[in-house]
Amino acid sequence: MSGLIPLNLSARLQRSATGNPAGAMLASGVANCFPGLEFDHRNLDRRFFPGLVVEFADPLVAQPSMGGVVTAVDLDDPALADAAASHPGLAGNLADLQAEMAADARAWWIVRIAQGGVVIDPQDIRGLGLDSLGTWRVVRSIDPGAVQIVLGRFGDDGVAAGEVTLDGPRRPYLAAGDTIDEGYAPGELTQSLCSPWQHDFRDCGCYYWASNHPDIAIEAVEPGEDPGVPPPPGTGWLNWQRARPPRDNVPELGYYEISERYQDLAVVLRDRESADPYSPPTVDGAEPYATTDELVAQLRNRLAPLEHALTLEYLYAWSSVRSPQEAAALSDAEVGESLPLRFRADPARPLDGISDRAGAVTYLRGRLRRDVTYLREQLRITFISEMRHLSWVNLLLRKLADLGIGGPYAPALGVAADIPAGPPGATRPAALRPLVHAAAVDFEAVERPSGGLDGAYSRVRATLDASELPGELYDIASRIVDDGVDHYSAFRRMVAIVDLYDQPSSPHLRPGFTLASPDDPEVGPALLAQGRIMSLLTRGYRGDRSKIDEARQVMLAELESAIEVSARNGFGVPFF
Amino acid sequence: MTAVDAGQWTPVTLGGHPKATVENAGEPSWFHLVPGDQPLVWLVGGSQLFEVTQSHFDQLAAGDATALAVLGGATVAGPAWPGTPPEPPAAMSLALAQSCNLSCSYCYADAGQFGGPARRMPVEVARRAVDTLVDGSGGRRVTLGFIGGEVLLHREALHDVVAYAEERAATAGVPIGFSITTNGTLVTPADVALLRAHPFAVTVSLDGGNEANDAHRRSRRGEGSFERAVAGVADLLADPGRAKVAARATVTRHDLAVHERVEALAAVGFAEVGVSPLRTGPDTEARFAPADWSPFLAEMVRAADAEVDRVSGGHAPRFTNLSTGLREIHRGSARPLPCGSARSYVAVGAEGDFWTCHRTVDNPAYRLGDLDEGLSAAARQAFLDRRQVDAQEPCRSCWARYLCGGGCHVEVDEVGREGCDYIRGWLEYCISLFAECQSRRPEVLRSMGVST
Repeated sequence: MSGLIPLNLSARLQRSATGNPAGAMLASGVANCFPGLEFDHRNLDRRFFPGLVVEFADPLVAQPSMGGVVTAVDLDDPALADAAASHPGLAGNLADLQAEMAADARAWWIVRIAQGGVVIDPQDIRGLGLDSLGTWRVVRSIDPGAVQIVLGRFGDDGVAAGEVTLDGPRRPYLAAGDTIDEGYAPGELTQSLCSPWQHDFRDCGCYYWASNHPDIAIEAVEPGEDPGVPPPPGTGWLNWQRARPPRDNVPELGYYEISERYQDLAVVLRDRESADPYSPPTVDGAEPYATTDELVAQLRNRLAPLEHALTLEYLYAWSSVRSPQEAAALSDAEVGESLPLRFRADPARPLDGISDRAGAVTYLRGRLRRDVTYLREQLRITFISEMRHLSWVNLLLRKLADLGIGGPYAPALGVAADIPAGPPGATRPAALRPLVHAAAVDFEAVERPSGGLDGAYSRVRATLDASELPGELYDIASRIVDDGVDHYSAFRRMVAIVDLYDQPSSPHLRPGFTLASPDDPEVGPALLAQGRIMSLLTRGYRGDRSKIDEARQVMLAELESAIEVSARNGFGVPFF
Repeated sequence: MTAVDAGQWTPVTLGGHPKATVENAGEPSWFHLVPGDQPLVWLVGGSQLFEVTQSHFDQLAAGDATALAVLGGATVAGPAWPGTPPEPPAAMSLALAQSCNLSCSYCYADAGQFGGPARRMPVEVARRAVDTLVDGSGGRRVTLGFIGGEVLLHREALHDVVAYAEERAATAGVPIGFSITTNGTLVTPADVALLRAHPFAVTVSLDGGNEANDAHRRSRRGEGSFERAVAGVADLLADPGRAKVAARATVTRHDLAVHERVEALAAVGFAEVGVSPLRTGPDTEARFAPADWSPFLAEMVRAADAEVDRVSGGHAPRFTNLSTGLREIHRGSARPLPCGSARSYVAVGAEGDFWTCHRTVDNPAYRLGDLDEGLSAAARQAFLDRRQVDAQEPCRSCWARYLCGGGCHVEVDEVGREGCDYIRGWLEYCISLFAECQSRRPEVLRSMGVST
């Protein structure tokens, strides 16, 4: 600010504070500090113990310590004066430690932390030593007040050569008046900042990065393998930050390693590690519809009903799958009866490495529970997604109507009679079926990229792209296309799972599950809920957002549970 | 506190020399101009101090829009209200003895009794208060104060409670400090030993030299207390141990001199001396009248000037009014309240009731609960909501409000606000001095604990 010379601290702080990067002011920051977009929170925790400065680091050799090493003893730490009253011996112990450190080059690592009867030491965790991240998290969770730490001196051989116990009050971090404790030097807190691609996959406590799962990838394709085939369920996923070469004591690359050896990390594209040059999929070459009227007709008469029909098909299939609780409640005999056919035909043939029947039963019980969990979750995610597509198609229609295209808007809530079946032009009738193999295959087919559904939306998108219509419409169409990609992979995996259980007993399905007739009282509540949702959507799609929210509520609070009640008793709800 | 529209307010300007009293124009102000060799601007939001060019200064005084906009870009919002809800207090003072061996004419506590019968706080009550303080600390440092009346009239309790508190705090891993206010006349060697052995902030109430002090601080029989007080604290002053000992002088209108009081108390051996003008209490002859404030400001400035010269000459600072003022200006403290009462600090009466501070013990309007029912968060918040400076008139339009905080709650409730001009004048003097020392006499600031 020209002409204003800041004289006191508050004025200077608004302009520049020693040590702070030019663009940074704590008060104006995003206020995310875990570890920190403004400052690395570990810079605060390094001084958690008065008189000590530690670093959260991993020892290079396996040793029975935690991932924290003493880098300095600070006898001028102002917190020591406060600690003297409650811990009179502390300053002396620290001075001794300092002398030890001066006389001997071996480092002192944190071995144990104890507070209020809780003791954390490496032997608790895998016997391998708590790594730097784990140690930092422990330090982070130390309460204010007295804490005891035990330090051990270790040489290159990882063998302890000396131990010292220190008792002191955890640094309060904030001084009276809520300013940062005076033990921190200017610039110390901001000497490192959040480094997302390097450290946040492990350290991000707000799960911002973790929510995108960049740290998990599918392993690279072997030569000759078809990259389009997803790995079997539960396999093929790797920790992208795994130590290379693998090692026991610290399974992931450490902070400094990952910065030094970043070239060793794999490039991940579309979830898969890849060493090969990447060829992006060709740009959608779909042909636009001839007229906007045809566009509207396609949306109203083909796509909306299709989404609706699929929603209901998936919903029905979802309800046909055993719940994990039901799977867990099966007796050994029942599970044994469900053993895959190919195993039963030849008891001598191993099933996934297990060659005895009892072991197979145990294995299958756990496997079945996991698999039905997966099937139900994926189907649920998918039918919710299709409902969203339905609402987006209606949104497109309404916006087109607002632009004078396609006549006045009326909600498109019909249910298609025919579903694309894979080969272009081929269709199958819409049908409510339990998740048998044939149904799963049909589901996969309709979601295949450039198979039925995706191709239709590609034409919609191409039409909107070529037109003079607002870009927002194109974006809505793109959203539908992009959302569909996950359905395909999910259904591919579902087919693989159902394939395993494909036999008369179909252990993944609820026994005796049959389609009920609409006037059967067993399915009354579910049909009523469905009717209410349709009625709410009719009004909601016209523009009343609150009705859509209400419909969602009915869906979550009433419809799903009503369906479940009927389904557990073997009754499939006749949605259409 | 919403952002200030730079074009909307007119600034308050000085009528003359910085040392003159300052009138508040009564209009909302967001900055204050301090003329001099170094033209200065005090920005109210954020308590920021700037040096500006003379031409910028003149433009601001004239209300030039561009100049105002430049300044407006630097302003920040005042302290948010309500701030964080009050936490358990970090400081508590215990009225161990609501009685006194002296009968100072101006005593706000009615010779220590606060308007009631003389009584002592039972040790059990004191211990319970200590428990409340330590348990609510969250590991943060706490301060346990002892007040009265004259605390040493109940020294058994004092010694007992200090030992108890130290043990309690040590077990909990909570750092603890102590404070005590005493007239000094009853101090025994055992008391001295206690104060030396623990981190005590000792405040001795003495008004200056023999004559100044004994003008008002007398026993019931009319005898002066100076000699006895000096004798009582001599050993402690000679070797304070872990204690920090300060003298606090009350200035009455009979004798507005400040410098002489500070000198006299320094001669006794006090390393720190602070003064406070008498505004309230039963001695209406001694209380400041409106005409006293201007000469008092002159006296304060004279004392401060002398202090600066002394410190420049290499002596240790001792006039705490000045060093505190300079420190707060340096930090840019911006507070909506004048002190920690009801917020970070409460007082406990002999019967175990909580009061907003040591001056409101047994005054029902300031009650905050008791040890049985606990501290009432609602009562605290209600009190603070009433008192915070942006809710006060004329404070809310005063440029000095975030440095002053609105003045002592009790004094303002009792006698209103006189002497605001004095406060503004004193703060303006300190601001000028700060800037001057920063450029020309940095060693003065450093030795006062102001590191720039």
